[in-house]
Amino acid sequence: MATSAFPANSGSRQKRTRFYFRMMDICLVASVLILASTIPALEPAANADGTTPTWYLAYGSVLIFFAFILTPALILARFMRDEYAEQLFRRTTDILVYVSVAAPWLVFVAATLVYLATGAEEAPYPFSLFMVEVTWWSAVAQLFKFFCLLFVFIFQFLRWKDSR
Amino acid sequence: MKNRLRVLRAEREWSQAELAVQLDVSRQAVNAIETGKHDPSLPLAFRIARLFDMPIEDVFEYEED
Repeated sequence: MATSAFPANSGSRQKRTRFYFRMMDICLVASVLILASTIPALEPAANADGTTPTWYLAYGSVLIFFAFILTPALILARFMRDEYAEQLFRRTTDILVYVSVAAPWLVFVAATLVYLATGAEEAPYPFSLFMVEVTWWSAVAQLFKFFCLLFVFIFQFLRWKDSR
Repeated sequence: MKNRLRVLRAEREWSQAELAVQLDVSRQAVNAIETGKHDPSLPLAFRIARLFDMPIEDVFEYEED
């Protein structure tokens, strides 16, 4: 039986990559929940005084952690990826570039078609979301959030596709 | 790139996880190499060949595009 020509390794990179994939799995669950939270029908009823329920604030805080802290950390954590995870990362970023370029055009075309079909003065949901005036910071934060979500979805999809 | 990794692993009755530990890569990396979804880097390919104690050309077969 062949034996290794190299001294036994601690498997540290393997452990880091396994942890990386576990964190990505958790981020995927969080990403789905974050997307779901944008659906108005799924928002909880406000408190009697009009404030947001405390449990929902706590829930949102956890999701914010995953969207704005853990996912970006995983994107930047090159040291946690073995060469296969790094290849997944590069394939993900390749796709992200194309999506980032195509998405605005697709939204514009879709909104235009909806307008031509309905003739409505106000865009229907979800296109109405793009008509809301927001601050620069709010726009940057939303773009950053969806960029991170997209990264997780694409990365996990590629990983799943390879495992089949 | 075709490879005989699965066959060689099976001959030694190693699981993908066990092989991954020996190569210090993730189990997913081993699976991706075996299924041809990922071509290993040269250092990893050499580590694999040395682990199985055979020339690299006996483990991996280069295919022309």
